[in-house]
Amino acid sequence: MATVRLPAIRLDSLALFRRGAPAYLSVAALVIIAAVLLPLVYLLLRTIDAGGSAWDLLSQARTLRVLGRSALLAAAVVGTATLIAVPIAWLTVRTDLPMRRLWSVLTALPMVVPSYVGGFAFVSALGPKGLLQQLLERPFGVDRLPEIYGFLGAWLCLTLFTFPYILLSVRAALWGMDGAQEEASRSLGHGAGRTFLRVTLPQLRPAIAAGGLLVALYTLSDFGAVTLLQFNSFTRVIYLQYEASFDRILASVLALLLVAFTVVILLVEQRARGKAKYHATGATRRLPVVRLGRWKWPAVLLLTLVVLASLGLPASVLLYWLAQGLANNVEVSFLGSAMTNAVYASALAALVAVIASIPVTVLAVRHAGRFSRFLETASYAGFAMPGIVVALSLVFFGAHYAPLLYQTLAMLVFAYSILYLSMAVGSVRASLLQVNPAVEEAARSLGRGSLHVLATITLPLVRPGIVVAFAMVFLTAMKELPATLLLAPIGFRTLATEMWSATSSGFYAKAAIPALLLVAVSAIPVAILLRREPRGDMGAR
Amino acid sequence: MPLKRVFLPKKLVRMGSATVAPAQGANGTAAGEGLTLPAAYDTDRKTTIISVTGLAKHFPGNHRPAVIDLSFDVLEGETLALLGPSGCGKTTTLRLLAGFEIPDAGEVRLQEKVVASPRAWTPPEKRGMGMVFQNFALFPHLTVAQNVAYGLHRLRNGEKRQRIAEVLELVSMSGLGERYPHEISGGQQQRVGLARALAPKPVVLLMDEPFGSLDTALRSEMRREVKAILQQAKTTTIIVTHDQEEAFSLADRVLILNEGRMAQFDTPDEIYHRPVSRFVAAFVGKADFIPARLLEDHVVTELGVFPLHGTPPPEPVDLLVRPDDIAITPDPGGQGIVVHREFQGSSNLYTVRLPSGLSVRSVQPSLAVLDVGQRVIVRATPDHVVLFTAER
Repeated sequence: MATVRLPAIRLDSLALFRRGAPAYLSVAALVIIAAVLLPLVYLLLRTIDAGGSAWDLLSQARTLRVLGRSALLAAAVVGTATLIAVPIAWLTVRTDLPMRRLWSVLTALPMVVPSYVGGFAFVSALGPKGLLQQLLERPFGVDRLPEIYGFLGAWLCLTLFTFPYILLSVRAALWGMDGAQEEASRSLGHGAGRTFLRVTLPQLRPAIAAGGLLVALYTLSDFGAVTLLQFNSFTRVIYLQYEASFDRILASVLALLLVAFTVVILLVEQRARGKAKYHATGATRRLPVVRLGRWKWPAVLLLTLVVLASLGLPASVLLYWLAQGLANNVEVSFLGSAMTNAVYASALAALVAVIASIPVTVLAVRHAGRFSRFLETASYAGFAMPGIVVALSLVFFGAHYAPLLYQTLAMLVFAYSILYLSMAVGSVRASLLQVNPAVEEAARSLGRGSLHVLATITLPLVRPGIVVAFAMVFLTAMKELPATLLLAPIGFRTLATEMWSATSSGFYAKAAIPALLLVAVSAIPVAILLRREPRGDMGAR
Repeated sequence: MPLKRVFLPKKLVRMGSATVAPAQGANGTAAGEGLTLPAAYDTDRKTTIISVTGLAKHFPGNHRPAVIDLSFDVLEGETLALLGPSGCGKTTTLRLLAGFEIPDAGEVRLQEKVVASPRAWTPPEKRGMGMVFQNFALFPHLTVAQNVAYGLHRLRNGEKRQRIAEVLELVSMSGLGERYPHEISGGQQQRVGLARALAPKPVVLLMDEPFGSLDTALRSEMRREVKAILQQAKTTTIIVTHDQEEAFSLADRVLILNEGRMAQFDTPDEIYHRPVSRFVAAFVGKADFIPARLLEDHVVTELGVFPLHGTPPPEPVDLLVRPDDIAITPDPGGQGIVVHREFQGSSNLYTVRLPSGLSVRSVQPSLAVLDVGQRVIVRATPDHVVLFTAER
């Protein structure tokens, strides 16, 4: 006979009370996490409510085709982005490529192009009767370009604007590598090529996986590019369902499936990372510079092509339409209020996200336990939830349970905060990890309570992290599109929605100015990111 | 004239119930030199400040408890050292006293009041214990004076200024109050850490490896200074250290921990000269163990016969000899052969093989250089005859 043994529960084995985590922290963190999980839970409840019909929808061939298409797109984009990013990373870190620093910056810059701006550039330049076709028509009589809409367009567009995520991650890994390992391999009789394949490349795998994860998540949650390029992946189908038929059940089912798919990818990546524990043992040896020799010019050619396609194309399209707009005196009066609205909503969101990140982070870092680990993981839910999913759920929830909040600014700020809480937590966490906990204990031992210590010691010390968190959330929310489309109060238009409606109605000249402003806005976090990279030549390390 | 030494019985020194000692050291004296030990620490006349009973702490996920069944008292005004190898539980003990950890069992009383037990727990800020941290843990965003002022929130402004000046004077940091922690040296940071902890006049001062992050030269200098400051401040102090030299030079009493249990709790001299276990003997100094037989009231070894006092452990037994108890003189007819010389700067540590094949170590002056292979006469003059059950 098997006997059931009940675990003995003791006061301090409840992680809530472990190591004296103050109750106000635990309660605040719990409330925040409940709010973050609200959209997901609500979608889940609604779908379960629908019961059998939801299951039918889920098993329909149409639904599975959407899943297949999205998975294929994500895999294709990650694959090509890796193929572009790894050689460029190696060329810009390890070789005597001419003007290396310039190429480093230029190849990272495509990140600043929001996907819907990239999609706009693609459609406008490469679409039927687009700029390229017009350019080629007179001299060569070209009246048709290969079809840009659908998989091909979405694949190319997303690859060109996301490969920098892998590039930066791989570059960081290359910088951190110990040159002595390669020298050891050479001394053991392996040539440069074999050394790269057997020593360098295997160590880049975690970096490629980390960057690839970002690219895959970006692709799955992307709304702008796939919608403009008319590829029926999850986000576009969900939006169309919502817009056209208002089929809540189908939209919910698709949204949940998308979240589930994202979670699977996150889990797979985590598994892969757990197995691959490569430590940079603190780079001690300077990395040897590889001489390119006669490969120098092919390398420059490759970089030129990539930069032309990923930066030259959007830049020239935007500048062309800007010039057109200025020449034809296009309407610009909307810009003022669009800018103010975007700044206002984003600043509020940044404030909320930063404040919410503090209890979660302090609990996770200072009072490690199962409970706080759960809270921290849950705070990353926003990372796995595409904007369209959060927005959709909040639309349904608002219409049902919070009519007073529905279509108010508060709802939009709430959605932004959910989406970007993980970003704030990440930044504040990095800062808090730098603070020696003994400093806080010293303050406690001097007779001050935990809340006072939090205010006078911890927060001042993590201020750099808080500032970065605010800036990142602010600048990211500025260019958010799908949640803003679904949740903004009537008449509340931001740069992103103005640009979107101008593009959707084919008024490209009107779209150019907000698009350029958005590019400028997203350039700032990228500049922050790039400044953290080691700069200059090898000798300066 | 041989001196007869008398050892007082230790009264208040309670041992953890689970203390493992292979055998109690036999009390005895070797005739000869006229060195006198200080009387065993007089624990009768002082007030108990901290009383620890049955303290235990097991961190989830660790295979063994950090602290098991620990009981001891701390007396007013004394300096007590918690000494042991890394991972022995000394820092956990200190953090349990400070209130940064909650015990699984047992209790801590501070001036008769229970401050920690599995049921009651006083947060660190309500205990009135000052703490000096290993890396000093100065607040990097506050000046030296603001650091010191942090714990003085109950004082009015004038008093506060006065107290800051007082403690900075005490640690010889007057005039540096406006500096930031990153603008002062490591030794100065240490002094600020001490001043900050002493400023609110704590009932007890806790120091966690206070010299651990200083380099060797600065360490001994700071040790002297801190000792002087503590004597002047007359604060009851508990110091955690893994360095026996540090513990011996600073503390009135030393509590040795091993694997979470109390191994011995006594004055430095008692611990060095009369360790209760092989572990303690080897931890607080170099120790060799040579086989011995008991013959009436004598101990017979390869190195000679020594008088025995008190009750020895059951045979077989080993005699503890320390390198400073072993004298060697070069002599072609000597019974020992030098097999190794380790030059230590101010001294030489020789390893000598005896006819039985056993090796003992001997400390000789720096300039007394003997070649490996040299025959020597080996004489033992142990201060105290300490016997342990042999591990044979």
